[in-house]
Amino acid sequence: MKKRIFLSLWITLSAFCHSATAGDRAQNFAIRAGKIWTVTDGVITDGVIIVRNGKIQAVRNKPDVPAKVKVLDMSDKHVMPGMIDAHCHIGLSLNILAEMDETVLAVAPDMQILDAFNPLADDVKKALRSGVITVLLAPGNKNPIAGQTAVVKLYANKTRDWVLRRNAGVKFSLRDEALMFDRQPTSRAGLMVLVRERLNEGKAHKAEEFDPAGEVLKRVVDADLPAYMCAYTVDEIASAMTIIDEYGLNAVLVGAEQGDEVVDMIAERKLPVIYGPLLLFSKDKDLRRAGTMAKNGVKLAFASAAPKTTLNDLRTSAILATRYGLSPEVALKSLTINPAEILGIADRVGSIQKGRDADLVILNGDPLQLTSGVEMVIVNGNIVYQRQEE
Amino acid sequence: MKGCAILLTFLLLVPVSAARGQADVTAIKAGKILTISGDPIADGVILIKNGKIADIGTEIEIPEDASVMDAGQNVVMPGLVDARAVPPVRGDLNEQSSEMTPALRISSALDPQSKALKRLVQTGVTTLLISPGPRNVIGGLGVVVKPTGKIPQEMVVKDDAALTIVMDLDSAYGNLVPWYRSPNNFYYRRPTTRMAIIWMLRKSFFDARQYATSKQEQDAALGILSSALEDEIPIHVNVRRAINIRTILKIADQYGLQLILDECTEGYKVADKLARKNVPVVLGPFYYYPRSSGQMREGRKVNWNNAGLLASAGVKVALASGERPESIDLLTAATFAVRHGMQRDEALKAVTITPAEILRVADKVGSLEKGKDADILILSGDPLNVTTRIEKVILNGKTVYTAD
Repeated sequence: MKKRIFLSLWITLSAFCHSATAGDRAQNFAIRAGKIWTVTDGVITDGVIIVRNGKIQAVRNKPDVPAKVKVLDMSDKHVMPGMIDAHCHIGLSLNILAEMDETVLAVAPDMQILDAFNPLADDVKKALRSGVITVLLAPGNKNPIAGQTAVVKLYANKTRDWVLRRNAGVKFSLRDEALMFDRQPTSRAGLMVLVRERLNEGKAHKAEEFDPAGEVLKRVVDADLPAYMCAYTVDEIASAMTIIDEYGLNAVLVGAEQGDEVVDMIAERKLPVIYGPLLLFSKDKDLRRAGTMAKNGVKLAFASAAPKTTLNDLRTSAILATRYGLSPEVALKSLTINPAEILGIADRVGSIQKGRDADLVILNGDPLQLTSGVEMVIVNGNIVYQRQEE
Repeated sequence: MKGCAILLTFLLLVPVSAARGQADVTAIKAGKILTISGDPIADGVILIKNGKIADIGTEIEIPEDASVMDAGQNVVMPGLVDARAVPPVRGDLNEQSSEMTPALRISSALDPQSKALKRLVQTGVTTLLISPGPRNVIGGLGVVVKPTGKIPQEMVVKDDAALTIVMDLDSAYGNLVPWYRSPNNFYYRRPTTRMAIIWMLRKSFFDARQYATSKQEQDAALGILSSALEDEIPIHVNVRRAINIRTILKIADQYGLQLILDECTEGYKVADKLARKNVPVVLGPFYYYPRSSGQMREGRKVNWNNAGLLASAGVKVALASGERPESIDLLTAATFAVRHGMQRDEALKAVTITPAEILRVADKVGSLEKGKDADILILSGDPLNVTTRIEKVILNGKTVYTAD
């Protein structure tokens, strides 16, 4: 019995260690898959994905494999691109819920969440096991201008560039959470005054001045950096739109829980929406909202908002939305290519096609079924997780 | 000749079909119409087209395609205008990080889903002023809205409609530093006394005048104060005690300000002065019993005969429901004002056209006249009777509330 536990531990450890030591070494192999969900090019039945130097070299719709290539036989499994969590706060050590908000400073656009990210944290490993490979790390909602977001792959290794975008944009929060009783702002109207004041300062920033915050806000006002606007209710979304229109920001709506009620306004401005999480106990009314938005032409990406919820909720969100009116095709896109496009990394991840990073998730069933589980996760051609038989 | 006739028929047909295309015509028939601006009309008709009153009178031809709403012997009157209403805003109304926040626009915090709006509609209010809260000496800019619309922008009738100033000690409550603590807390701030409040007011208007005359750097707060000095933005002063009323009138003389006084519970003591200086007042909130600390603040008591005394002295009086949800609704307040000495027609004006004039939106709302917005109440009887109920509220030509 003891021996067996030791053995299974050894296997798990070696799975991690092996790929960690393998580092840059080329991992060349082919995957024979029962179903390949390419996302951008439909579904391929009985196909082959050839991985070379950490990239996808080819996707074939025939089960033939070239000679002298190691083959992973997954002919009864489904393969999908690594999922992308468009908004989360994982990998923050110590008290994770307090770690993401520097509440003393209401406006800190030069603060970087990446500086607080621990790639070896437990929840990062959990995320990988649930099939989430790329995430947008963001500061929390308790500051009107909270700081810079970052796009990273969760499989960190010194020798590999796991940071896709160090500064992916600035997080704004127009939520009630951004109001404090002992710090400016204390009211929703005061929040708008503060945000406008700081954006005006950013507009007036001159290159020769030393003002890191002004420099970042200047880039936001110039629509060079995206603004991630966190807004849930109709009035918050309306406030966000006022700011977006006034300054011509390149914006993404985050949260947008009641976005379906002002969907025409969102669609008119072509604002992408980072939505979720939807939970098993969410109300029917809320579960329908994603479908309504997608039908009206809004580009959706799901987010888990972990650690406020669990990371498994990313795929669950999509599944629940599908149950309530979102088309399965769009649901799958909202987990993969849509967030990749919103975050500006679609040339590397988000789909299974030639030239993309070999970030693959292998499941034992349809990805949009609650019954199917993750069997294997491959990041940049490295097997980083493999489900062990009990 | 034949061609000419065909052409003529076409010419005649075109406008008819255009009118059919809109087909947004409603006619309301009622036993009694209180227009407020003129004499009551018996057995009259109001014609509504595109949310506006197209015509009103007794001998009006109702178009064929109009939908007719027969109010029978019910009384029809314009929608009420509340110059001081429960704010439909989530969270704090005051930006407590500073005691002077003239650039704060409460319009940027409106919540169209607020329950307060629904309640206001049920009490017959169709236009209201929303102001920032009373914790700052200069609280910020108010907004005139209608309780309709999906997003805040759709609600707004007039932004930057009022600059809110708070006299009395409301802005000083809780600011006093306890002797056993050092004054490093966020809440230990100015002002702590009446003289500091008045000093701060004087100073800010002095600064604003300097700003207007000199060419300084752009400053949002001073810019707003200087446009208030020039009467581009009306100044609403929340003041209750007579001593404070006299002081603010003195400051107004000094800087040439046009004021509107809110609450004004001791206004009857200085009624002559107010009438002489032509200062309108917005009275309210009214309530039966003081139940919260807010209702027991300095000078906040209910003087029911205040409205009558002020009106008979020649002051322009508007009634308001007040910023607290537990206060009495507008029509009931008007009823009580009549019971305590106000003239009937004055009381009716005090909840419709007078506040509309004070808020400077009388070209749109406040009475039933041709060209104004179709904001109409249908009542079961005399409006100044507590047993009367509101049967229907029509806002911009659309029924938004029906009693069941």
